[in-house]
Amino acid sequence: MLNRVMLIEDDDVTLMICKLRLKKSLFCDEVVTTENGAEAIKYFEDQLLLKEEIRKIPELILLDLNMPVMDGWEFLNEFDQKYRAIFDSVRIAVLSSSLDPDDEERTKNHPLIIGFISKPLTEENLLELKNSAPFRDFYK
Amino acid sequence: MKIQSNIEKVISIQVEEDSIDLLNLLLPNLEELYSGCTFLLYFNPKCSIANWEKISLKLNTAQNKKSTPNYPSNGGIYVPPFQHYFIYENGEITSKPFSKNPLLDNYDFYVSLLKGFGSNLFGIILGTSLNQIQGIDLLPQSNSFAYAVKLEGNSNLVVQSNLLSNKANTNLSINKLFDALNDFLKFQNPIQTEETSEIITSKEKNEKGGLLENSALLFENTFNENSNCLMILKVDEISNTQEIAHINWAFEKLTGYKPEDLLGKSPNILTGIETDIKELIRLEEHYKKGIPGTFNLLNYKKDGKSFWNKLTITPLKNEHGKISHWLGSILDITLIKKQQNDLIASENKFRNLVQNASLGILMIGKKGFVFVNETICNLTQYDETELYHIPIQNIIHPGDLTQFIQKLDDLMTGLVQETNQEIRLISKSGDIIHIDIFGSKTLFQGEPTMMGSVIDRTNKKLSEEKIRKFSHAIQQSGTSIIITDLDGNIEYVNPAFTKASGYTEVEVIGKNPRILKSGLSAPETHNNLWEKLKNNEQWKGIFCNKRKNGELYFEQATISPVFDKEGNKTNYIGVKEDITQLIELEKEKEKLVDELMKNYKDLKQFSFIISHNLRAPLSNLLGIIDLVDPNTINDETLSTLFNGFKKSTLKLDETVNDLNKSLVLRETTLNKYEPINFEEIIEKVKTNLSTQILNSNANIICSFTLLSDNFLLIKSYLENIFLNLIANAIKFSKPNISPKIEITTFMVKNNLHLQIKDNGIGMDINKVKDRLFGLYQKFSKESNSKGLGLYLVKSHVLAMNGKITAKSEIGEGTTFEIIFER
Repeated sequence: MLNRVMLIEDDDVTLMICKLRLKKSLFCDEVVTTENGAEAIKYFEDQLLLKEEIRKIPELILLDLNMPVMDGWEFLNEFDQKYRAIFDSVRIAVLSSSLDPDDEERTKNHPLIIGFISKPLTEENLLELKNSAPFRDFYK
Repeated sequence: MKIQSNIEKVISIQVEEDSIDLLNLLLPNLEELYSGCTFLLYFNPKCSIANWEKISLKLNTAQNKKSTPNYPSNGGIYVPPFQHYFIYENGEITSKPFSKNPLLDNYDFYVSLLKGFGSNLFGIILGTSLNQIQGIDLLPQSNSFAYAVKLEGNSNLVVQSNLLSNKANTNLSINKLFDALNDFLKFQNPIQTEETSEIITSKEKNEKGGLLENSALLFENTFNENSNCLMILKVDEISNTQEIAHINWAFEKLTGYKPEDLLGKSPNILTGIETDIKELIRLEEHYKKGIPGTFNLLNYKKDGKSFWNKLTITPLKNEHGKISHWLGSILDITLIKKQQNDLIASENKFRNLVQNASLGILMIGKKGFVFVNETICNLTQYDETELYHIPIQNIIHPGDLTQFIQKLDDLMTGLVQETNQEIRLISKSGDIIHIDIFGSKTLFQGEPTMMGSVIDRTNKKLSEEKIRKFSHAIQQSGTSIIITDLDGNIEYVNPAFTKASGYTEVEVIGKNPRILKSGLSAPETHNNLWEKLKNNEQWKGIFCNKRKNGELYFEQATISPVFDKEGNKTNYIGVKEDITQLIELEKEKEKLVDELMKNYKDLKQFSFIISHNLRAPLSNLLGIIDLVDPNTINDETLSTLFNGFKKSTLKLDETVNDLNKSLVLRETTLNKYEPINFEEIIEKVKTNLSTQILNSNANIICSFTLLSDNFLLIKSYLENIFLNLIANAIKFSKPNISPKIEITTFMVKNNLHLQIKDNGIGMDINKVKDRLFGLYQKFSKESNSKGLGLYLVKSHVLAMNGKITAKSEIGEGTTFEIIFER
């Protein structure tokens, strides 16, 4: 079980469902939710201002791709450039309703991304992620 | 000296008008001298009847009507009655009656005799004027009063022999003339006859007066001093050959021989190696037959030099009518012959020139062709002889004949001096030949004839024909054609130009095509145009021009330089197509495409809306269902409702998934054609369908043909096709019977066939028909059938230019066959 998972998702119902699912599946202790990429970046900025001990850095980010203000791809770029070095324990799983095969293809080669999950987030999906090789390698 | 009178003697006298008086003077003496001779009087036609009568009256005592003068237009024969003769004595002429008149009784005989002599008569012409006669008689200083003449044929060639040309002889009196005559007659008649012989001794002669003696001298001189070369040949009675008996001084002078060289020799001494044998044989025959004749012989002088001898021989008969002598007259015609040869050579030269002239040369008389050269023969394909015998009607085209003959007549009759016609001939093989004939009038063998030169215009005519056709094509063409000079000034425009531009030919000739400029063509268009044309290249491009009425129009133009035979640029030709309509159509098409693109983008956008905006709430519903544990719902109604909610949500999810798949597949850029490995594809499909296959216990049997590397298809499409078809086969299997799916590929010619055969429930294909592959068509009540699968299959097959067909019967399974052409 992970300590903390961050959800970046603009749809509040989806957010709610994901939060419930994660808890129900005992996937993590704590869920941090943000509504878009920009909020998520702000969250990390805020954390930087805190002392290291009290920082609440998620180990995994479940990232939606289609969002207003700052979408998933933009967030990936921003995070990669600004915080990857600082928060090197953070990995990302893409959570998308898009069926575009290009999307999945783009995520495959990104070093930060360890999984691709088609919505909705279900018990089965989470299991699959948990059992996937990259996930297991990273969260030994 | 003896004078032999012989009734066969003929003396021919040509009477000139001015010698009448002399004749009057002489005739009595002649009559006396040659009593019994026949006098042939040739009257110069100018000599009037009055003069004739003057003579005849004097000679003829008119006692016998038979002797009435016969006076034909060109001369006359007068046979004197010889009743009187005249004696010239002591400077006076006195008339004396003539006792005998043998001619009177034999008049007809003599006439025929004279006729028999024909044209070869020897005679004497006397005097040229009365004054001269008086001069001789009274004024001995005159040196021209007598002529020896030789009458040849009808030509009356008079060879003047001035008896008194030698100054030493100027004092010769008329007696000498008589002597010469007498002498001459003595030569002719050396044989005396007893009955008529009247021997006159020199003494007697002197007693009777000097007349006879003088006559003989006259004849001798006539012979000797004759400028004609004369010889007298004696006929050898035994061998019947000729030997030279006398030659005159002219003969000596010509041949270089002296009398002693020749006398007693054969005249063949004059012949030589190049003398024409044929002519000699002919001469020999004349000698044999005793008939006079004229011959052209190449003879040789004493010094061996050759000369052309026109030899005339006249037989001289004795009193028995037998030929005893021949008089040979030799005319040196070397010069004439040379001139003749030169003339022949020159004529040949001219003939060759005419024959070989590239220009056709012909002569047409009233009866047709009288001369044609080789060019005419080549042109008409007839040979020369044929042309001389074919009527011109057969050679001149019937359409031109009347006109030609009319003009020919006009020329012949002198109505026109020249004629220039364009006519058609018909060759031997029937071809039509167009010619120009330039004719002028000439005489040919005395006949009026047209001499003409002919130019073959057939080729010219053909090119004219060609030009006519081409220009017709240009006139009729719907494409504008402009011809300009090198400065761009218009020389020609066709009617299509007028139609397109609105300008008539008259309005634009001499102007520059820039009058059409609208200013809207791209500026580089014109620069580029002139650059190309200056480099002798063709230019192609589009002008936006302005019609006369101001309307704009577009022209697709091709402008090319035109060169002459020497390669010099002479003109520019512009061929222009009005493409205004095309351009407008093109614009409309572009507009249509834009609209379509916009619609397509909207549609694409819509598909994204579906794929995301519809997808997101649906995911949520699915998430909620996932979160709710049905066992925790205690209320039964709520539980039923939740189940219904769950079922509908799952169905919606499936539909949206399919829909997305179809949209995404069309969008994707990953579809590339590549070599296909069917085993690999089927394995992937099997993995995707592992649950269904496991649950249904399906048996999939594959048989793949080896596909060549260059048979290319789209892998992802094929995966989808198999996925759907296999899934369908499992889905529509018979209850309690394990589905058996046979997948076969094979080649028919170059076409790949794919067969997917199942043992499922099948369907009534007639009912299904076209709807089988339609969108959202459902043919099964099975809950999990949504009707999108076959639509996708067909879409994919069509996308790869393939065909798909289905065979099925209810309860008998279904076979899909897909064919891809190479």
